[in-house]
Amino acid sequence: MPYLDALYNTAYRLARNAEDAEDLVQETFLKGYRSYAQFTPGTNLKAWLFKILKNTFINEYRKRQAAPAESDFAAIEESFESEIAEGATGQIKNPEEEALERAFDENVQRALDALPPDYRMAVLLADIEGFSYREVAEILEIPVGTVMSRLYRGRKLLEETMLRYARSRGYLRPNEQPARRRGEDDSASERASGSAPGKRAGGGEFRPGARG
Amino acid sequence: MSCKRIQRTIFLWVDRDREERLRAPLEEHLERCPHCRDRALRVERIVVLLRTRCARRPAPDALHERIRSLLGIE
Repeated sequence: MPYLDALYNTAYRLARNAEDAEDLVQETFLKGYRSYAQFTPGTNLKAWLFKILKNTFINEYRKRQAAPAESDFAAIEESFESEIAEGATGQIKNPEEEALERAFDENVQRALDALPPDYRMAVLLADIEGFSYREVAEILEIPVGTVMSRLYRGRKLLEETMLRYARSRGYLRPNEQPARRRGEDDSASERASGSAPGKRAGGGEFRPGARG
Repeated sequence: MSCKRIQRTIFLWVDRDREERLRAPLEEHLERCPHCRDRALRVERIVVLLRTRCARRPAPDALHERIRSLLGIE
């Protein structure tokens, strides 16, 4: 079955349990099969199936899951925004790098689960399934600028969660806060949406300041 | 380009998902500004960890079989 494993992987991370994930994927395929006449051959079948998955999750599963209310998401975001407004991070230190890797290995699923669902979906689709901004926008039926905003905030929240976890486990000293600098504007700009290209070129090797 | 403006476009650089006209001034700035380079590295680090350390969970065989059966696929 095309994309079944990819759909299941995302369904599991959205539904947070195997039983709901299986039902979600089964329902996605049945709906896709029944409405296949609406699919335009030659367009993106994978994105089309993921859109069905997303709608099924939102309409039938998300509402009955124990997720924070929207007001809680707003509070999380507000607190996050005020935190980054206080300044930005300083130099990356190797101990922090190692601590973060260890924290990811141990706790990434819980950190993803703790993300507000809208951010979680954007992160899952872009960073784990490898969809481009435009594909994520198509699947979630939101503007590209909103995709970038949710991705930016989702990634930042994950970083904060993982650093907190690393400190709580003693991988980082409690007072080993990333240094903060004043005056940095971390907000993901939806203004950039108009000029955002839609295709990911793939993750190349990271080279600060590299050209080309 | 100011640091403030750079901060708003770092995610385009991290995703390698940017247009040439955005990339050149961005990279020029990152080359000479440790502050913004550090910010970019931090965002990059999270993306790399997500891509490399999130184990994929394949669908159970029983689910493959059930869906094939429901759709009448041999």
